[in-house]
Amino acid sequence: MVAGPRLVITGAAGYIGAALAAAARRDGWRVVALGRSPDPTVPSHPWRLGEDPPAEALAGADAVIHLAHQWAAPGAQGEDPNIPGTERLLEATRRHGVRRVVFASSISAREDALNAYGRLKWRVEQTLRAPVELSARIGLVYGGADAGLWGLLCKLVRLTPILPMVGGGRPIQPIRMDELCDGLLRLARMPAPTRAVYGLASPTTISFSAFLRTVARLRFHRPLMVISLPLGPVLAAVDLVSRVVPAINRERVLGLAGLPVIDNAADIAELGLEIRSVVDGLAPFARRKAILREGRALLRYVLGVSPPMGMLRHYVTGIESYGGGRPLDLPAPLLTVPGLLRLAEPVGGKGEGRHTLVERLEMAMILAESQPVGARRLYDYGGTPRWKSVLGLVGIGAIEALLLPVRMVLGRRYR
Amino acid sequence: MSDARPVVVVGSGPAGVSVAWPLVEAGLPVLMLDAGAEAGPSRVAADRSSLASLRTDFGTGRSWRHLIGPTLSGLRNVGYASPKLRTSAAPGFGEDYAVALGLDASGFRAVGAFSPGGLSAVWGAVVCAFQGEELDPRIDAGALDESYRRVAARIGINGSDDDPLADYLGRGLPLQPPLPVSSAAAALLAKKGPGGDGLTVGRLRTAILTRDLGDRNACDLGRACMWGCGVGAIYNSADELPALWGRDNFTLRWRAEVVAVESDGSGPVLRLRDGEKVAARAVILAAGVLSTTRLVLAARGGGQSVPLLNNPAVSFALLSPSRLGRPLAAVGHGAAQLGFRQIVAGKGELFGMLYDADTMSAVDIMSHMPFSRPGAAAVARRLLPAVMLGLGYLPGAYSRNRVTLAADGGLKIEGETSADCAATMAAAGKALRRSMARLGAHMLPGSFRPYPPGAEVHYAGTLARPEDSTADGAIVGLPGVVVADASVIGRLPAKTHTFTAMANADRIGRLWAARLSGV
Repeated sequence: MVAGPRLVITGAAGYIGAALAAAARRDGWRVVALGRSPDPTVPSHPWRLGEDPPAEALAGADAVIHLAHQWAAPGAQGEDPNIPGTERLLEATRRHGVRRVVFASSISAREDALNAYGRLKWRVEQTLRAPVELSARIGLVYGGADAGLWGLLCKLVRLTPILPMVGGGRPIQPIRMDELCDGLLRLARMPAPTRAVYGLASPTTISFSAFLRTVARLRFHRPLMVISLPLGPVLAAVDLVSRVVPAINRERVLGLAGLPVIDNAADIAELGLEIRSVVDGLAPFARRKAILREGRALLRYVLGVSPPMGMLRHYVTGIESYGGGRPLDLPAPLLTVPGLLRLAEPVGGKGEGRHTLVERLEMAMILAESQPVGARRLYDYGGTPRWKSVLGLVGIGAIEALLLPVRMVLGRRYR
Repeated sequence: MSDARPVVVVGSGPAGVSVAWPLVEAGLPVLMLDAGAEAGPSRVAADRSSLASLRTDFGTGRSWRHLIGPTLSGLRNVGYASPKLRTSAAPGFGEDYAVALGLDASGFRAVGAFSPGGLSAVWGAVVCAFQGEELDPRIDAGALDESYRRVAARIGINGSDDDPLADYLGRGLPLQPPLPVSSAAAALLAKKGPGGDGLTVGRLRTAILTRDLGDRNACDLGRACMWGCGVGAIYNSADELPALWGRDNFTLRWRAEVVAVESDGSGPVLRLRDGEKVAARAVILAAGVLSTTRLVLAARGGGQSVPLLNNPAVSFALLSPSRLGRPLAAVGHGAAQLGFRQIVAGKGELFGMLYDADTMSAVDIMSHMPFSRPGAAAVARRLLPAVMLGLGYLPGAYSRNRVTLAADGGLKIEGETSADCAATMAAAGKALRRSMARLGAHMLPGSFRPYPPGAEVHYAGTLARPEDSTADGAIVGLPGVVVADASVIGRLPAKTHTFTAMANADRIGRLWAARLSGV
């Protein structure tokens, strides 16, 4: 077919899955969700872990990335559904001759892991037997949407300036969401893997408390104090808390306290992956707040009204993707009273590639135009009496002529 | 003896597809390689609302998805290059190109793309036939005429032979009925100038369907052409790939970037980015002028320098005061409405096209106004109904660009125009201002602005000298290597050249189809 390679993702609607589906499409894959789809533009086939996947989902698939995980019901007994479920999926991928299967495992996967999750992931890994079936042991994922464990950590850090925790000194190996997606897609594409298990995590460690302090500082712009606690009493306390916040439970605490350190530098090198330090990885959050403030001011200026939330989000994404990613150093009065920009907007000077106020105003203008709230100011589909239109032009011309010398003086510093 | 090696066509742009068809029809095994990635359907959502509705109707919601794209790629700064790269090109379009080619351009804005359909994903779809002196004398005019007709029938062209510009644009092509022009364009057409001022205004021929063709649909008159076509009415060579793919003897590979053309003694061998080698019976390069030129210069070795033709281009704005206050049209097409040809006494000619200003993004127009943004927005709102934007081209003979293969394998481009280019452009502007004013359309002061060399693309002629290629596209000194894109067209009139590049590729394809299949 005239098309890119086909990638089937299980668990595509999850925290990692949604980001992976988007990254894969940017990378040229045709993405198909097995199970729930992250958004209506990703085609999906109904499926639940444990069922036989529909044949049309796997036919012609170049790779399958298996993220789906079924959390056991509390107090469930007997064999965990993830093991037969994955086996069933693998039988189908083998039948269809899928050339690569990547299973999302965990850095905690060990036969003798402290937490049940780590032991389970290890057991699922054992069901992968063919040389085309790889396990990715994933470290602590951060960034991306506020969901999963990352979302929980963010909630905690935002909740309190003082965080008592167990295992704060434990080394962890984080990985940013985009790096993880890149790694998983590289595994899906890799022609000749040299091992069956790859560690997708930072090869250098950071202590858990340092990680959380960095999150607090760079993402939420506040200090955080981490107090180390002994494990026993904490587990008791957590059992109480888990009744109010079900996401916090014994298993999660054990998972964090018992994370092993893996030596995966060679894995990362083989994949050609680049993994940033947490400080570099979180820096965008700190800048984001300032860009948001700048966007609110500039969009208000060009729209004449407060921008809708979605447009503001687009401004931030726009600056991060195409505008250099850093806020301009605009003085507070301009940010507070955006109308003053009318006196301070530079005359001309569209600096190509230099991230100037003029360029940002242009981006704000494009965003304004991209929605009816702004486009209606620009395009007159109803018509206006001609004399009114001419009079308007004369009036605006006069005002702009008066403003011009002021802008030439005040705007010079923003060119 | 049958040869199992395929004929390899490099590039899926208009020239690549046009050269591939005759080879495929002759039953030859054809392998097309493209550096781009096929990322789903290239078309804009078919259920996109009309431009007027996207701009004013709060009910449609998510207008931004169509106007700046779901990944917000419409926010990237495309500099002085065509604003269309911003509004309708796919995310990442053209971004990896300069890096892959090792481009080092001075005084020249190089545009190219590794994507399905090449630059036809963003072209203006204006179709002109080269005639008489306009045509590179090396090209067989009779064979090219037949190719013009073949390509026209294949891609679908609308227009009329009953038109003031018909003689100039070329008669005798199979044409679909013309697109309806806007009221602003109709008003301009209805005005009869005094004549004798060298200006002809008429309808254009565009590769936009007014009747369904294959799985492409006729224009839905939604006026959002600049944001890509939702129904496939505007020709994009990528839309022809499924039909080619339907042939048993055609294969296409994406992400297959050819980095070198070599030889193994028995024939050409292509080296791909990932190191793979592809042996070919013959290689037909149609990768776009800059890519093709780099491959050929590198294969021949030595620090060579070749000319690069392109049309010096200009943009301008015309104001018809009688139209101030009129409502903007909600229905119609949003491509070029009219064509014009301005003869400049003793200095050649300027050919170009006029667009309704509201069919483009007002932001790009506002960026030329010295006003504050709210002031510019208020001015734009009042001016748009009365403004047409023009694009004009001088013949390629006014360009003096040179392309050199650097020692590191990169392509060095030096942009330059002839000594009389600026004066000719100014004279053309003056003549156009005068003759358009007689039609009631007044050029806005300061709006006549030449583009820097290269920004409006229209590249050609790098390998068209007899020491570089033969008239049938074969490269001198590289047996089995043929060039089918505009690199082998040695003359550029003021007219847009894509249609001619396609027809010439078809001509070359037919020649080689006969030769390779031993007929």
